[in-house]
Amino acid sequence: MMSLAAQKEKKIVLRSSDGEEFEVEVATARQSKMISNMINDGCVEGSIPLFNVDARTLAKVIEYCRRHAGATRILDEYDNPNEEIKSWDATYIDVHQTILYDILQAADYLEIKDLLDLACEQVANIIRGKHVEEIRNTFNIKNDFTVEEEKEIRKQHPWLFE
Amino acid sequence: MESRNWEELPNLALFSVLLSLPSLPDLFSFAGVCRAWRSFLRSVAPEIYLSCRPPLLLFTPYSQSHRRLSQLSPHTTASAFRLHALDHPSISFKSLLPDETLATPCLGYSHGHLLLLRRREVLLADVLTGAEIHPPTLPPDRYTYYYAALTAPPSSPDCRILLFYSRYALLCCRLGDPYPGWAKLRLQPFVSYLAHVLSFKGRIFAVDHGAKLLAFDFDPDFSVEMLKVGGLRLPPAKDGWEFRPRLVECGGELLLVLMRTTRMDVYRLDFGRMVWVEVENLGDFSLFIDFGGKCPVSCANPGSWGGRSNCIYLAGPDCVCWKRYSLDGKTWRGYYPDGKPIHSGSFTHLIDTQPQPHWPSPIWVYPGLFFGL
Repeated sequence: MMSLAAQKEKKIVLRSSDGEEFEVEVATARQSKMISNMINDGCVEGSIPLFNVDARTLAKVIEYCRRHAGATRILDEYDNPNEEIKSWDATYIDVHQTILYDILQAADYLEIKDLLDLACEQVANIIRGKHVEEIRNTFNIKNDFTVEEEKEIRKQHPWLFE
Repeated sequence: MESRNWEELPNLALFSVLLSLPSLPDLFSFAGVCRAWRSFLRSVAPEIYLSCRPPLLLFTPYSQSHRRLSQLSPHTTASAFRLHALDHPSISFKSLLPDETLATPCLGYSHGHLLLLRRREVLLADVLTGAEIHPPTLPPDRYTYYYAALTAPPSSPDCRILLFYSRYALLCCRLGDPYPGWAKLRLQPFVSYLAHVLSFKGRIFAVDHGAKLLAFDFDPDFSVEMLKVGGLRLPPAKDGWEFRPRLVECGGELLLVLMRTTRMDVYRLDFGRMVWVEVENLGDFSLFIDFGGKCPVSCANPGSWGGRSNCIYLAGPDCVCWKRYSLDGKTWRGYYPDGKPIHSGSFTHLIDTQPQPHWPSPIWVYPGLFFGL
């Protein structure tokens, strides 16, 4: 049985889909439920290959996990830790749509629920108050309704397209 | 930068996005973006919206023309149905119901549809979109129909339209039949006029004006079971008008609500002992009841959208507003559709003692989209 201090020292290597390796603390890696399960099952010899996450996204995800793994320590140091971490989150997630999408997919794959919720909240913020066409343009989504379906939707909810 | 396939978001992510989009226009915009988003919203809407969002108030424009509060209302000039969202009182939506619908008697609201009587036809109209479903023409008999309800959403194979016209019989039409038609079904003669029908945990319950509870079975043949339920202490009724009983599903329980001129009482059915037990506190729920639609609903955690728990939200029949009755203090307040409170001296009664026509009058509704339509 490893002591708590020794576990804190221990590092884990994550390998991105494009072959880049990242050395992270166990507490950081455990923010991912998927990796945490792997650690519990004792199958983290060597590096963990993450086939669905590229280096750019992985670096960004690790940044989040590192900050949130440390959040429990910050609780003691600041009077208002929630506000502190919230404003950090807001700055962190204010990224281009493509990166937001990659973070969202990675959070889903790695099972980091708080990060998934943060990314989805950001998607909702972008959608809020926009009309259908604006949303399609923002996310570059192709309109895949048939002409008849589109006509039917417009007829039912004309204010969507105003 | 390269683009991504936003239409292929994982379901968990779409779910989380929807939970962060509380306003109705945003939801409809979301559903209009692409097929994948639309079908996802349809599939989860019944689960995430029906029990924890307030219904919309369908406000019928000339319901108030000769009613007492008309001079107080800022909305008398509106010429179309409006839908008001209690969680966003400052905005209202246009319902696409055609105005002539107002001239058509409404027999009830059920599973997202108004059931309207137009000459020899009962038609089902979606409250938001105005889309109509036309069941077969009614038999030639000139009955006076007083109430109609659906036993399931129209898309379901179990959907039956129940049409009540006397104390002794009703008409029934199963929409999903290859050749749907109207059948006359017998009620027991000792039942009073039916006040309300509710599908609860797979069984169809009904309550009559004397607050007697019935259960309907349709397979293999139609049968009515009169359920012997004790526990109800009713004051002597001059007529059925005094009670206006309604059934409502709330947190897995079957509730009975009795409406009087100055108070409302709620009972819960204890199925084990078959007695009505008075409910002093609804917990973190509120109820929505009206007169025109006769389709009360419950809403969990009303604090999440700015509502109050342990309250009954009452619409119609006698005014241009809605009222909030608190079970805590047995008190009520009136509000305009836009959420502005009405001066408390304006009414002395919760419900007017004089019988009022039930239509047109404001009713609580849910958009068809919330039923997965």
